Amino acid sequence: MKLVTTFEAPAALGGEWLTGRGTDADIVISSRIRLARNLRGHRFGAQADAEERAAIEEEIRGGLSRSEFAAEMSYLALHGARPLDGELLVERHLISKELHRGEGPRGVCWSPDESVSVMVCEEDHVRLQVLRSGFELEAAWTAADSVDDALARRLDVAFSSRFGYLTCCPTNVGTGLRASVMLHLPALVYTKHIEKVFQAGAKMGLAVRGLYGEGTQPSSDFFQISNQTCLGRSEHDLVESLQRVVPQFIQYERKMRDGLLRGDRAALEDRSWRAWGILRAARTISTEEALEHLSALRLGAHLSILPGAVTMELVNELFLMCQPAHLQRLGGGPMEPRARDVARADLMRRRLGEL
Amino acid sequence: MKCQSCTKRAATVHYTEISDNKESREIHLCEDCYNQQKPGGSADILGLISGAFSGAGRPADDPGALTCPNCGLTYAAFRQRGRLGCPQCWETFSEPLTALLEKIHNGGTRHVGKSPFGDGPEGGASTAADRSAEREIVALRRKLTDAIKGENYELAASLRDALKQAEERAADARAEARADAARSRGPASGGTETSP
Repeated sequence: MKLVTTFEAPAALGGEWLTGRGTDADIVISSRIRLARNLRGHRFGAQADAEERAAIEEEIRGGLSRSEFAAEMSYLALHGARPLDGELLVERHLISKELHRGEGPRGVCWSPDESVSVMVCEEDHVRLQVLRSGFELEAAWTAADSVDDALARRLDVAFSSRFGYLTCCPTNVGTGLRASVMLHLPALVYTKHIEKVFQAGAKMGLAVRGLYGEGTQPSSDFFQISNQTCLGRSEHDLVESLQRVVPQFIQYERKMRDGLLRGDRAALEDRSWRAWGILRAARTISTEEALEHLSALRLGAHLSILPGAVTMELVNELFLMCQPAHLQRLGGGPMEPRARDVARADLMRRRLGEL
Repeated sequence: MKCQSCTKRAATVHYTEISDNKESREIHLCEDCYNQQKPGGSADILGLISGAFSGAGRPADDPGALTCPNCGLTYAAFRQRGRLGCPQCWETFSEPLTALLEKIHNGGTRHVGKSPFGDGPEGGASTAADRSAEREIVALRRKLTDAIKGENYELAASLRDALKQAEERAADARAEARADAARSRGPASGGTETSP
């Protein structure tokens, strides 16, 4: 395992989940499996003092470095890292905001394609995550399961046959599993049918949230759907219920897209071409406005309204690169919000203007 | 539904209060008014924690004074912040937590899923007997869930018996281990090395 002191984000594309590959990738941006684990004999994250957290972090780092998959992994101790590195990791979905904002010993371990990440000393001692492009929940679960097995051979995991994997918050106990998919549903938003998705989700015991998960407002046309319960049902059962429900949302979105193409093609084309025009011409643009237009670009690219050079991969890349920490990394240093808006517009003009 | 106390905000905390003469009364409060009466935070989980006592006869059966022997967290403190202190809290607060879990996990109170005890030689620090007992219980429970799902009630009945026996055996073993630990190390149990 390579111990690093800074996060060297590749200049261009981010992780595997941004490639736009995988099943139904026109609508399902990514599939994610998260497992919460804790060490026996230690207090949970927030309750442990600095000394105990240091011991926990060391024990888990040691376990990770001895595991079968260690050779290809990188590890960054976040308590010694620059704040911008933490922000970059949040934007790339490698760590949570909570881990970034946390205090004391904590870290993150990730694979070269950024599909696997292990957060250390979050609310729970271990938060293992697998993120895949497209609707690939089964594959993500299989990968998470095997990394989890490898870790369980190295760590003394807190578990009881009654409650399963013991966690800091009772909402995560049992399997400790959260399965989620990130959906792009512009046609359902445009036709004002998105409320029905919320209602259907609630009825089926699923949570519907915004782009960056818990505690955030949905950002433009992107929605995360996940299981809410994780005790009393097996991992396979939990993954399967999302596997069963999500295709219905996909079909619903497709139906609305078809309907718009047939009934209101001009409006749909206008929306995509306006987004294309604004992104290629603007001199200053906020994150929210950029996300809104990128969403229209993504839809236009999928429906072959826009030139073929506008690919899912390119749009996904721009989604990542236009965010504050990535812009600052590109710009070579800290930037005020207004300067970021200018840099964001520059980036869009440069990448889309050359097509 | 409006809060019964301030009559302005929406009621988000609902529970049934049972008085000494066994009369029950439904209470619907907003989070602010609830917190004034019972000091606490504001997360959803806290509403659930209060909701979990519906019909449980508060405050007569209030488990707030329960204290984890490992980390020192009281159930009252857990109720305020919605987070447990250490893995052993799960054993200490198992009874009140079960009512809460039922609400959170849509009736689920028992684990059905994988366990960390693979066949590898480098497993956890619990004994081999513990590992095999816990694995057996979880496996039986999974089979039972499948049998009920498949409406195979005859099989389910025999699995339920087997599960009950396995759980009793494990509980006996745990009690014995606790007694051993108490004899050799004092009152704290659970094989932990942290101090409260």
